[in-house]
Amino acid sequence: MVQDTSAKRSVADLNIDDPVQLEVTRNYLIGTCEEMGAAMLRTSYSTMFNEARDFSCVVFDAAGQMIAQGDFCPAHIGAIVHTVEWAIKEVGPENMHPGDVILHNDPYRGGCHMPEFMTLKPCFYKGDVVAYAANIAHMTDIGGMVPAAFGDTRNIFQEGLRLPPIKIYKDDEPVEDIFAIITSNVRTPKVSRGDLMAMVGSTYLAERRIVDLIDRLGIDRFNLLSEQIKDVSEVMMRQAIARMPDGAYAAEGIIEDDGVLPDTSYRFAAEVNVRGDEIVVDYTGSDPQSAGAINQSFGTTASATYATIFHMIPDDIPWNHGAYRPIAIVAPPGTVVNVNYPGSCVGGNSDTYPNTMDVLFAAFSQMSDRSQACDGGTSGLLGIYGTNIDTGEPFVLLHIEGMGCGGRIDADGNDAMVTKNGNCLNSPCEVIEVRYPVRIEEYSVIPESTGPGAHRGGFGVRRIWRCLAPITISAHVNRTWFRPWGLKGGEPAGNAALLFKPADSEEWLSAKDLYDRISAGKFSNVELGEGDLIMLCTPGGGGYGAPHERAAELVRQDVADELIDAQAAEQTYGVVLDDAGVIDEDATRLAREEMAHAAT
Amino acid sequence: MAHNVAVDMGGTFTDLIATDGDTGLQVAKSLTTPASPSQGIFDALAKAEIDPAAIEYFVHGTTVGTNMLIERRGPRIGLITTQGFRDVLRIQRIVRPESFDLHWRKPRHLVDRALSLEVGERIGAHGEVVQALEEADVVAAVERLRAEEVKAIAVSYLFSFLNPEHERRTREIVQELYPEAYVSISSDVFPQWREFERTSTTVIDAYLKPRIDEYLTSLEDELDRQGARGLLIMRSNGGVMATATAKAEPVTMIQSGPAGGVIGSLQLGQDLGLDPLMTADIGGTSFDACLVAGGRAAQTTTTELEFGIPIATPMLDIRSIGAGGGSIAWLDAAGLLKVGPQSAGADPGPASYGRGGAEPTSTDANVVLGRLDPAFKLGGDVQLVPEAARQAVERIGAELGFSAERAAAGILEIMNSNMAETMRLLTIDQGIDPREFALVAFGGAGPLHGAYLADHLGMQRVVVPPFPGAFSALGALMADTRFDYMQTRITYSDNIDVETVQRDFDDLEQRARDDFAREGFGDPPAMQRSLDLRYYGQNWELEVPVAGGAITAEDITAAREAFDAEHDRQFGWSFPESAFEIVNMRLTAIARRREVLLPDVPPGPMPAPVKVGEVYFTEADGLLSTPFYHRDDLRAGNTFKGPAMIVEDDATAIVPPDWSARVEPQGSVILEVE
Repeated sequence: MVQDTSAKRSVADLNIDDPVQLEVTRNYLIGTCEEMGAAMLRTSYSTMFNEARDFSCVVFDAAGQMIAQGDFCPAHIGAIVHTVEWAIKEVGPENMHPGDVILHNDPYRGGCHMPEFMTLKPCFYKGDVVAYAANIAHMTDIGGMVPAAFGDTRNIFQEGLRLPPIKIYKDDEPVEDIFAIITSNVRTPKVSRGDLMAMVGSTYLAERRIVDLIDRLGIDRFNLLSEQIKDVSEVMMRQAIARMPDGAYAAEGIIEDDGVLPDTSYRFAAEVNVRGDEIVVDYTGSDPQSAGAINQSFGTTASATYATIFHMIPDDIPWNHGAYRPIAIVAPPGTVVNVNYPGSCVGGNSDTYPNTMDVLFAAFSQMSDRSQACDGGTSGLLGIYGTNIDTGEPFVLLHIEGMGCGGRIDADGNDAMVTKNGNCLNSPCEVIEVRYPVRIEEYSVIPESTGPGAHRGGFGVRRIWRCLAPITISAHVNRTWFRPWGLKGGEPAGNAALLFKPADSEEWLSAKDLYDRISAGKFSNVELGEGDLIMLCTPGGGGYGAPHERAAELVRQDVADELIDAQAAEQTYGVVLDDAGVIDEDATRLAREEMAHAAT
Repeated sequence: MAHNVAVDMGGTFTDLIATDGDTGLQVAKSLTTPASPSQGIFDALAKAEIDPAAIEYFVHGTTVGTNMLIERRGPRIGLITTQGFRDVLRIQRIVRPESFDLHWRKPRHLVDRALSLEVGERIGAHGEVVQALEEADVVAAVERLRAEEVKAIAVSYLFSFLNPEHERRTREIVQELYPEAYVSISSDVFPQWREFERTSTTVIDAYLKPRIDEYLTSLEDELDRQGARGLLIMRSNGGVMATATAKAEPVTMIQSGPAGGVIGSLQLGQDLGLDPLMTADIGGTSFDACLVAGGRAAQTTTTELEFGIPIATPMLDIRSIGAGGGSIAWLDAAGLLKVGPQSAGADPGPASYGRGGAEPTSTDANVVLGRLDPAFKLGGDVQLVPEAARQAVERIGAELGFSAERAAAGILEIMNSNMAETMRLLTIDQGIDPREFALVAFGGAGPLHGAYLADHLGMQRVVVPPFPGAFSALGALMADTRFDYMQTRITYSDNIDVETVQRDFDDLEQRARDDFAREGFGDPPAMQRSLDLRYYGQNWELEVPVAGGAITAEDITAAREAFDAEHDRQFGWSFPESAFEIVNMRLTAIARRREVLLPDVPPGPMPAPVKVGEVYFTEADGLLSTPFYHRDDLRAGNTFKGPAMIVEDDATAIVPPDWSARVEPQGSVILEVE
């Protein structure tokens, strides 16, 4: 990461001559990113884009630094600063021409993982590159050994098609050779082409808007405002970090199972060093890279670091390059936080990432109450591959599930949320059933998955699928045996579970037991038949604070909502309710005194 | 003399417009009275000196329902849903409103989990019955909800939009066992796929029903007692409906308030020959924008009560942000200027209202710049206090090192840019370049901002309609009776069966005939069919028209060709060789209500200004001597250059330098870039 040595610490030093024009320009550029997103949503093909909205749009200045983003996917926004920087450096601005669009997905070149395709358009004004419009989006299938990529891959070649920064558009025309290579290497060529066109189209829209803006402002003014936009964010970020107490705060966490070696676990260690108005996050001490897909690329690790720190900052800061400047990251190569070629890493960005954030939240909790217990922390990824009944064409469905969030200082964890590295929507049951040969038999929250606490964790979810035709399923699910931890006396949450019940069986069993896979959560290409059932349960979040300190009214509400019964209210939380569900104040006080006594 | 009356009840003010087809239009304004909403209506009628007995046509737009939802003042209700799915409202769509917010709390829906009851039943993805309805479960659920004394029951089963039989039977059982309860079933409320959005909407419909019924019944009774006739309710889709319909489908009132202004703009655009148009309705707290293109106002089917609580119903695609005359200017953590979305509201209101408000607002900025003149009372009632405005703006200016004028101009510039970005996003969704639009600027603050908004978006022309402050009420008088119907039937192109398509349209048309008969129309309405199509695998549809009469294979081919062409127009590419899908059949049924005669403004010579004042213009970097014209003095054909101000009772329009103004025969003023 390139550190700016001339730190900006005060807005007064920035010599902002026209703060109104600054605000209007910043608005305009953020608006441009949102318009790119609106155009993507309307023109793309895959459910991953337009139902789940797993894409992000950004604008960079001529120096290759981000000046605006809409509020999209955190994993993208964190990694893209590195992805774009690498692409510009490797291609070289001198080799870029009007009408070029660059495509890039290489995790060893600043990318996060290969399904995230980035398109980058150099924007020209009077013959010069004046800005870049970029777009990063999750392609459902990228070829490789596993439909939708997530499973028990052992190296990058099994994960799919790897593309260094290359031009897919020249002179405003698609480079058909490149398109042919891509569409020949994926399972759903039509979808991939449609999605790529949508990505490219949105960068064209952004270029037009940037040219309009420069027509109004003049190029010198545009460049000056770009600098000021970044510098203001840097100042705000530094002021926010300066309010944190200096110190070194260490924490660690475990990712279990890599799908390749049986019963393994990997240590993720992080030390957060707050020094004045800068933060250095050092991952030294994390385990050597794994044989399976749980590794993080540097882009992923950097992204998880930014995302956690941004969560810890209460201020409303425009998240552009300036906000990233006071953050430095140490991630030793060859470890789970900085995978070396050709290590597998597709799961790192989707399922290890939230674990890395949880480790950092645990570190921050040592210096601030403004943190949270461990999230359920798995995206519950299922890749389902089969044949469409209507068209006879192959389909690939990548399914993302919600999980419970960790309890917080001021509230329970939210139920059923996408992990914090993403912000994409679930697929409605009715959409899934119309498109794919499956029926959803249950979609519910799992109250017992919570980690009890003064603010308890949110609930994971249970979804049961029935196959209506043969399909092939792959999975990448974490925390099947490692429980999300509680914080400050809060208790850990329940695990994830991925189980199967074949049509001729009465018993729910894991892929490990039933299909002879190494891991219950990470495996590829299990073939299921008509009538087979799949059950995915996601973990809840850990609790924050001791359960007997939970407000009795919240416990009563949970009972009234049929989330826990009166017995659990008493045993777990020390809240005694009468038959009408009213709190018995005296009995509750006694029960809680006893619990507090036992705890000391 | 018989009166046609429209009343637009907002959060703060109730606006009334009346016409007797003879003496022109009459305007009145009263305070909204939340405790007893109909009181505000009778106050406004009294102010306008209208005898209720002379009313023969009465259109009412209201935010009563929306406000009840926002404040969660509705009754306890229950939900009956498919076995295994009662947590759909708790799971929602698993997303959060902002990426990096540690404190956001997922909202609780309007029905308790313990009152969300599951029953055995299942319809499959092709509308087939997978599991028959377990009537014993339904009976048990209704008995339980009756014991809990819920006031209304929502019923939402999976795939009921393809086969509503289970929901209908459930409604019958509810009506048998618990006739006091109101019932909403999802296949009636919003027969489209996506169970969360449909269930959410059905629950909201049920939540609204008891109180909306109570409100409208009492309003009807009171109007009836006073001899008024013809009460109709403004609907979210821009049409009007009988009160019986509003009581049966209260969720269709969700945009009842702002819809009138869009319909008024649509009519005005047709009269003036302007298309496409963008509406900018700027009041005290909110800015509402909508597009009109090809003679149609943009429609959508989704809005949100708050993030995580969607409401899906056919409605005008009106986008709102917190920006208006009351928007407060403030400094962010870096000490830079921001405006809104917080608003000073009506109480205390902007500093210049002299009611104790100390925060600088956009109204105060306009006062400081000399654009709002204390000589003219706002809405005829508010006496502006310029010193208070200056103090408030000076204070924030001092922190920026700015003069009061520069701070005021900055406040307005930032607020305009916030609104402009919202509008630009709308144009992207329609695939039209914003420069092609004319802007219709109304609401109390709209004409103050119109030309500057246009400038941000590269538009050349702004229309300031007659009675801009009460234009939503005026538009409501122009609304037709309109029903929008939709049937989701996702069909792959190879599997399209003309007879099924025909049968679906027949069903929709029968519903339209029934509804219009209930609305009191002897003749069937004009009906327009359309299909939502997409390329196979896409998730986003485009609507294309389909001819009436017997559906033929050629009609489907023509629709498909129209789809290719529209796709190419909007996105720059099409796949004519690709397979496609029919997603929805739609039917819009319209019966004309009234022609509203806008007042004739006779031609005449240019009037003298009522005053000449010093007004600050950023583009001149200082004060310019500016004539103020009273709108009542203007005559058709008057043309003048900016800078100029046009004042009237409820609004002030700015004609900036480099712009000119022209007065139309029916009272609109058109501003154009020189």
